[in-house]
Amino acid sequence: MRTTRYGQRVMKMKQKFIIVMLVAVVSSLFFMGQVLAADVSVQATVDRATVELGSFFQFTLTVTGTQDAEPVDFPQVEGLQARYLGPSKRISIINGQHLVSIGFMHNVYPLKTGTFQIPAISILVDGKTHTTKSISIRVVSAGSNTTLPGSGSQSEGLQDKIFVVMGTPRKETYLNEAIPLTIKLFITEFRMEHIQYPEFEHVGFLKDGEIKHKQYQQVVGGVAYNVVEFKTNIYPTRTGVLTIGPAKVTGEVVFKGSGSRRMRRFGGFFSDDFFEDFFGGYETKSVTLESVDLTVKVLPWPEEGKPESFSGAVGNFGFDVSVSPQEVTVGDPITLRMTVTGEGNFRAVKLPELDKREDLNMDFKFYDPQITSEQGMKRLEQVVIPKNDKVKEFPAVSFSYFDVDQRKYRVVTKGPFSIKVKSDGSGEIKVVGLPLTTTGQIVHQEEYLGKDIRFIRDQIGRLQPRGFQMYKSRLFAVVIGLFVLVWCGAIFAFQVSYKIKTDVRFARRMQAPRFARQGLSKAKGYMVKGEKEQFYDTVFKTLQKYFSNKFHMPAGAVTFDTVIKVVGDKGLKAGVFESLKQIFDECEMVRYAAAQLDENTMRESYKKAAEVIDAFERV
Amino acid sequence: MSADERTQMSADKKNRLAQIKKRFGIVFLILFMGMSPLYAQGVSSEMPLQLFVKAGFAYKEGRYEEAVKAYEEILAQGQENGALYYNLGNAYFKQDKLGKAVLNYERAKRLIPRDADLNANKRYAQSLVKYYQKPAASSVWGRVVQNQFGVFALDELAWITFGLFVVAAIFILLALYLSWPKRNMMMALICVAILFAVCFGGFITKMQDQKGLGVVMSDVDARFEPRDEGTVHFELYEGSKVKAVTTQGGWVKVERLDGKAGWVLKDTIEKI
Repeated sequence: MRTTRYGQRVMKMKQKFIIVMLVAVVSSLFFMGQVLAADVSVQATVDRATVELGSFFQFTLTVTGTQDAEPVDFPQVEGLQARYLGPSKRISIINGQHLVSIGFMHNVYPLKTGTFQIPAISILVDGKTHTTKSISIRVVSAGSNTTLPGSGSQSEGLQDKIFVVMGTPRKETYLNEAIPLTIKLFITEFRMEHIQYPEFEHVGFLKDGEIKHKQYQQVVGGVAYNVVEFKTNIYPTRTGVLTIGPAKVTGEVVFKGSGSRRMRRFGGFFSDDFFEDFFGGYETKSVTLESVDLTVKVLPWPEEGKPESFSGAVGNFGFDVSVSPQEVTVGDPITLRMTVTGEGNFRAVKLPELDKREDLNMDFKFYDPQITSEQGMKRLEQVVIPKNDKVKEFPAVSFSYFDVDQRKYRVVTKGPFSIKVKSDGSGEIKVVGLPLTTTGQIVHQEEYLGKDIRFIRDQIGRLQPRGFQMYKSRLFAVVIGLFVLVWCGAIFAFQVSYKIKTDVRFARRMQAPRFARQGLSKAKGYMVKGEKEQFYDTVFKTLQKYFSNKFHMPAGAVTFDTVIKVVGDKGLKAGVFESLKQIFDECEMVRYAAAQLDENTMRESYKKAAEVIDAFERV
Repeated sequence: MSADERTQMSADKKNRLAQIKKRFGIVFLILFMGMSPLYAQGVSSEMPLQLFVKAGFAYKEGRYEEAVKAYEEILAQGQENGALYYNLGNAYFKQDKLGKAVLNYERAKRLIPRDADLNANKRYAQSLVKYYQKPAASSVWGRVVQNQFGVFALDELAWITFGLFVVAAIFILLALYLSWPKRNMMMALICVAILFAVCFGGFITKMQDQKGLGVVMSDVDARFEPRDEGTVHFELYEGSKVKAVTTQGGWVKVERLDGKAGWVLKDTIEKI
């Protein structure tokens, strides 16, 4: 049996293992498929565009999408000498896509000054030829390529290493329209720290408080740059040709000290990067970089089709209105919620001001609205109270905006919203009759009723101790407790009576002491009368009936020996068996041998019989 | 026995009776003074009924301050009921103390929730509270408790729940003793048990909902931090209902019915 169970368990484990393996294989295939499915591309980059004579630059040819590519030699360029460093493999996960690449790195040493063109390189990967772009490199004499921008803004010779570019996709825009503005800081060769958020001139524009930024790498003209990109929105507040910028970015440029450069140039033990870092071969210098400025033409909103309710919202919006609850009593508040979501200039979004509409003020009382704004959303919550029970609906609400994509106005209308207003019995306005005019038409005559609180009570009623709560009182706990007790008692009584009805052995055992008491009472009567034979006969029958009930045996089978056999040793007091034997003997003596026993013996026998029954009941 | 003797005896008897009466009077007075908590507390010994009538007269004659004083005196004697809070709320309302009025209407509501006059006055007083927000339960269960159990006081709910428990228990006993068919018994029992569970749940929810509720006594700024320099989050207006969440020093963090929370000074809120 055990072996079978063990075997089953082993089988289950095997099955689980196979399933896990299958999942792993399928996942691997899927992963491989994803990797293999990636497009192959080839790119050539250099780590700097200008290099000093005596120094070197790094040239890397990167094949993305596969790692099965043969190393490529640096093309023959007069005045440049290359040394192959080896391949560099890379696996990266971008947006859940696995991307593999391999880079072939060369250190290139210029042999003379001038501008050199690294020609396009063709490489065969997976049977397809891929070609890189050519790269231009400027070699200057040693010492003329400054290591650091001088005082002021960008120094000459460094514009191609660290620079700021500001751009916007829109050259023409409408008033209040959101204009996305991008400011990019390009860095190569150097490292920049403590970069501050850009600042720019924006006369005629409102600036968005939020500026998002991110960092990534970008290749420009074959040079790999670290780019810090800042993105924000600006909103034109007047029409005409407006200028944005220049954008200024400040930070600290980290550059190598001249000493360490010298060591690196000449090589040697201390040229190791570790020692350079350890002995602090780097210096920093604060710089402010400036971009060129931009011009944008801001157009006024077109007059054609301009809705009356238009209040300057420009963008692409959604509008929603809700009214709740829709069933109220006169005087109860209704919450009106208006939400504008979407993209655009939320500062210029003005939600409809319903409290200024005269038609609404007749039927509703308006409280001041609460307006909240979040990213891409503006919400208005306003408490409105219906003044009378004739109000059947809350009228439609419209929101209009200028759609920048379609270049036209849009009006979004929500409602009307049906509401049910019940009378509170003391409302302000009531229809009190339907009198007829002289022309026989029914007119509604309105009666204006006052509003106030109802009058006080004359009767004090029953007072109670302050703070008293019945459910916390002892009385309540006692009532619950008593009820639970009584209920449990009733359940117990039912169970006992049910067992007595269904379990004969239990019923006889339960009845045994009652019959014994009755028998002994009868025997006592005979004892008082001095009727010895009847007395002993009754005692014997009582004991016989008691033991037969107690131990569930036929009455005829009850003798001293059978009782001893059934009871065994159950912790009865010493002398109980002797007393029992003595009573049985005396009963037999009187019943069968007509023995003459005196009254004292009878009393003694009665007492012993009562003690024996009591002793058995206690077991 | 002569007539003089009889007269003498009658006079003695009268003296003794007078002495007994005097002693009894002193003992009664001592007992009364000793037992009376009002005497011990040094509060007016006027009975609540007298005070209630007196306050009623004052109210009718427009002496609202006097009425408030008399009603408050009954409360100070450690007695309360719905009518008392209702009248007190009215007296405060007439004094333009909206916060106190709403507070006493709320207290009355806990004792006499179905009283039409009370509900009308409470609704009217609340309509005058600036930016009053009607408590709206977000969950289905919350709405059930608000609508179905709102008309019962907590004590009434406790008795109803206990009554259903008794009915369920008696059902079980009857089913056992009368040997009802098991299916019928189960059906009946499930129905009663569901009712019991709903009532018990309602009772517990209502008890939890009432915990920490208070009324704002005067317009106050709720701040982000428990200090005077803390930024103002929102303004609470006199008569607004709030829930006290926690306390720190002299400050209490309160939650508005729309869930917004802020810190206010303790003495600006009074517990219902």
